[in-house]
Amino acid sequence: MQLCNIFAAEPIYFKMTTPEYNLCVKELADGLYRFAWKSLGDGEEAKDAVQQAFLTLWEKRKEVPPDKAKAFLFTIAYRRSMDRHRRRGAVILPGSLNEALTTEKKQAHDLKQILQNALERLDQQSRTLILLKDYEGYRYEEIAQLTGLNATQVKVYLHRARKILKTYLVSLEYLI
Amino acid sequence: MEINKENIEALILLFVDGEMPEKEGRTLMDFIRRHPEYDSLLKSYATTKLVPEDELVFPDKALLIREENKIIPFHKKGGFIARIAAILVLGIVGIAFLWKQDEGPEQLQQVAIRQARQVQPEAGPKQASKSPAGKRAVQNQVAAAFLPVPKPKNMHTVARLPKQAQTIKQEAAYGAQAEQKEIAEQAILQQTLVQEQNREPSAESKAEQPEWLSWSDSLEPAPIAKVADKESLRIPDWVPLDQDRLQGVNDLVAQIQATREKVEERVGILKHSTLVLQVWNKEIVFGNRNE
Repeated sequence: MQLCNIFAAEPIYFKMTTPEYNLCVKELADGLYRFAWKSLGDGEEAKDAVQQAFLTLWEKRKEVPPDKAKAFLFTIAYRRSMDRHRRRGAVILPGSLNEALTTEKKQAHDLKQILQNALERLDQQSRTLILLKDYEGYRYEEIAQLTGLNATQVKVYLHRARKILKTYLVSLEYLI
Repeated sequence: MEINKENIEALILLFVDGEMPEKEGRTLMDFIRRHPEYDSLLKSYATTKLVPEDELVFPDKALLIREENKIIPFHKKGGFIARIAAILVLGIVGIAFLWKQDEGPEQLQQVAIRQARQVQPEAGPKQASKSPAGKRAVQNQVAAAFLPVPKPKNMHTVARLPKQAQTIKQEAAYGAQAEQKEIAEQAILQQTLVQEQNREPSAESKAEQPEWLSWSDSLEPAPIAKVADKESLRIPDWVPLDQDRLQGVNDLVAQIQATREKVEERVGILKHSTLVLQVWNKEIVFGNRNE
């Protein structure tokens, strides 16, 4: 439904050509793969998600204008990530972060690795929002369009996620 | 923009997210410079910002690439020969089309009329065309030729099928010839019939029914008629009768009688027969088996 809402306001007279589609593959496949891997937490599933997203884009190329292709692809990947999360039903609440923190191995000194570990402990919604914000540089309004939330919700979820990450990092630093 | 300890954290978060306008960002930095106790807060939030891992690339990118539909330009390989061949083919097709368009159904009708008019004098006696019936028949034929020919469904136009057009021409000529002969014969018969109807019937013919018109169920062969017996058989004078035609009629009557005898013989055999159908070990009997 969200896809329809995104593109409903604009007239459908675009037709993405094959070179334009191939350009999308070259420019967006890596970013989409990173986002899918980080949000899904599985490389193979991320590959599937990317292939599915581009296949859908190819099938809908007559309806998707080239400048909306990125949003289209990331929306598909985001939905897949959320669907998978709902199927699994695995939610790590922020409250359980401190418990996980105590079992964190002290050899995780690398900030990048620590951040990745902290990211995995966020709930799915917050994680994908952080990824969309930091990896792809989307603005609040753009993320709202992709995810079906409103801009205020995006802002609130993102700030809450940053506070959790900060708390995690500060606590880890304290433990170390 | 007012900055205080209540909203500093929210403003730092907006700054980290890149959602703060440049002017307000500079104001925030000035505030933190003046209040260094918030510097650690800014740094701790700044560390939560993820850095994209550029080394992580999608390995199967080649599988996603789509090939364009290749269009071979006409001016490339064998361009000169191909162009000449195309021009020749188009020219021949165009000329053939225009030529065949001239020989449409109307022209075929005119050809048929012309041929019918050529055949007309040979078809029969002159009375046929001069008599009212003959004239009417000729008029009908000419009118039919000018009427639009109904085109059957799923049939191509004659202009597109040269062979079919020729066949139609020939058929039209033959048809017109045969029709003309038939019209002439009908005219003679019509004339004779009118004369006979106008004549007063004799008293004898009124009293007796002619024998040759009666139907007989008997198996006895019909009497062989001869020209000489015309008077005894009471055949009217207006019936054309000669020896050859009478012989043919006699032969036909004899053949019919022979066939009738054969059929009756077969029927007699079937009446006393029994039909038995055997399906595995069951027998289905039609008729009386005891006979």
